Amino acid sequence: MMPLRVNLALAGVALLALLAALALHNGWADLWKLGQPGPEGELARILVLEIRLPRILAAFGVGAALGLAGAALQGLLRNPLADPGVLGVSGTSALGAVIAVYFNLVTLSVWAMPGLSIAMALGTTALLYALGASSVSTVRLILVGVGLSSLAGSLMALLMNLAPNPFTLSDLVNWLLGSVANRSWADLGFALPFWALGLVLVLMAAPGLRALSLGEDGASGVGAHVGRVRLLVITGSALLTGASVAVAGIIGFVGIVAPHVVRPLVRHDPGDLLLPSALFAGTVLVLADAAVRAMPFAMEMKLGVAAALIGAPAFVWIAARARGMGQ
Amino acid sequence: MSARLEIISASAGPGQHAVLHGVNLTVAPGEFVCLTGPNGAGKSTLLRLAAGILPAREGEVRLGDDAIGGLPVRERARRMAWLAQERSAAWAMRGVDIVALGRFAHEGRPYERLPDTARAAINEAIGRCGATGFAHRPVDTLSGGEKARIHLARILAARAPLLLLDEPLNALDPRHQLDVMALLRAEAEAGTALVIALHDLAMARRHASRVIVLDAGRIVADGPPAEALGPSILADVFAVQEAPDGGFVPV
Repeated sequence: MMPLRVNLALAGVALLALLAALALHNGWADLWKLGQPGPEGELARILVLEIRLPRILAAFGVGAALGLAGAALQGLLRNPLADPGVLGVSGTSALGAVIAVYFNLVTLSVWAMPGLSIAMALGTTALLYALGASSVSTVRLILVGVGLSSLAGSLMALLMNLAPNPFTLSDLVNWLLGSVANRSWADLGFALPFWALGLVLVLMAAPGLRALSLGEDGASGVGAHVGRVRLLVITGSALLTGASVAVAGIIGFVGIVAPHVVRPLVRHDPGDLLLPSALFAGTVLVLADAAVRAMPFAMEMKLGVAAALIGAPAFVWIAARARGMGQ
Repeated sequence: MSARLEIISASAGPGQHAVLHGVNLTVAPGEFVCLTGPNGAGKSTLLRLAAGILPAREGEVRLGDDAIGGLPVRERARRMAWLAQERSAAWAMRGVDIVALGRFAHEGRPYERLPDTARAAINEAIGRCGATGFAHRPVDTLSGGEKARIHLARILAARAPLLLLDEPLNALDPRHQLDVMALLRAEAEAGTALVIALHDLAMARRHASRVIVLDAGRIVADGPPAEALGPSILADVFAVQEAPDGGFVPV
C-alpha cells in the first residue's frame, strides 16, 4: 500500500475510535442531544464537550506523540527497541513534572510543570546522545536508559516518601502511573504547541531516517546530513515526549509497539513509518482509555497501567525476536 | 563537474591513531585504479578519506576544483559514490528501496514514488548487477552475495562520475566476481573514474588500468599493473612470489 492510503486508512480508524470513545456509556444518545436547547442539551454539551472530548483527545495526542517519538528514535538508532520509555526519557521527564508539583512551582507559573518535563526530556536525550547513542552498542544504550529510568524512579520514590500530605502523594502517584482522566482543554492547550513543533521537526527528518538505514557513514555517503537528522530527531522526540508526560505522566511501551505493528504496512521504510505509527499509537491509547473507563472497578484503572499490561509482554516478544541486537 | 580526485600529502586515521602518512594521489576520469596492500595497510582509510567521510588531519582532498571538506554533503554525493566494506542495511527494506538510496542526493524517496527517469536508472543498475530476480525481496532474506549485488547496484544507480569501492568482490562467487570486474571496466571505459580496494592480485593485474600498493599507510608502488605488482613489491610488501602455475606462494 502507498503511504498516503495507509495514512488515510489509519486516520479513518482513528476517527471511528474517537467517536466510539465519545459515545461510550450512553451510546449515541448524548451525541444526538448536543444540538438540543434546554437543560438536557446543556448537560450533554458539558458531559461530551467539556469532560469526555478533552480526555479522549489527550489520550490520542499522548499516544500519537509517543508513537511518533518511538518511530523516529528507532530510525535514528536503527533499533526496534528504542522508545522514550526504554531510553529513560519518559522517566526523567516525569521526574521534572513531579519536582514541579512537589516544590509547588506550579503556583509560580502555569508553565512550570510542562516546562520542567520538557526541559528534562531535552536534557536526557542530549545526554544519551553525548554518551554516543549511535556508536555504542544497542545493548549498552538500553542499559544506560534502564539506569536513567531507575535513577529518575528512585528520586520520584524519594519525593513520594517525603510527601508532606496525602494530596501531594496522590498527585505524585498520578504522574507515575499515567492517566488522562479529568484533563481539560487548558491542559491540551499547553501541550499542543510542543506536539506541533515536535511533529514538524521529526517529519523534516523523514528522508534522512531512510538514508540512515545504511548506517551513519553510509547515510553521509549517499548525501544525507547526519548531524542535522540527529538534531531534528532528538529535539523533536524530546518535545513530543516531554509534552506528553506533562499531560499524562508516564505511559510506556506504545512508542515501541506501534512502530513495530505498522512497519510492514509501509514496507519497513523508516521515513514512511512516522505518521502511520503516530496514528496507530493514538488510536490504541484512545481505545485503551475507553476500555479503562468501561471497566467495572470501584477505582478507575490508570491508563499507564493498562498500557504497560498490554505493552510489556509485547516488548518482551519483540526483544526476543529482534535480530542483530548485539551490534 | 569534474571527476578528478586529488589527494595532496594527506594524513588521516580514526581517533588519535594516524593510519595514512603523507599520501599523494591523483585519479583522472576513465582510470580504473586498484588499491591493494596487506591487511591494515590503510586501503579503507584512504577510500574513506577520498569519500569525505573521514577528514584529513593534514593535507587536502580535492574533487574537481573544490576542496572536499567545503562541499555540501548532497553535492559531494552527486559527484561520487562510496561503497563501504561493511554493507549494512537496517530493517527489512526491499532491495529496490536500498538501491533507490543510491539516488538520495538527487531524490530521497522510496522506489515507487520516484520519477520514471530515476526508476529507469535503478532498474538498469539492478539488471547490470544481475539482481533483478531478488530486488523486490526484503534485504534481510538475501544471501551475502545477493546483498553485495544490491549494494553495488545502489552505487551504480547514483551515476556518479567517481566511484570508490571497498572490496566490491567480497562475498561474490567466481562468476559474479568476473562479471563485476567487467562491469566496472566498462564504467571506466565510459569515462567514470574508479578506485577499488582489492585483495585479489591476479584480478587487479588482469583488469585495472593502474595499481596502487599501500604498505603501512604509505604508497609504495603506483603504476601499470605489471610494473606496480613486480616481483620485488610482491616479495617485500606481500611476502609472496609467483608460482609457475600462475598462483602465489609464500616467499
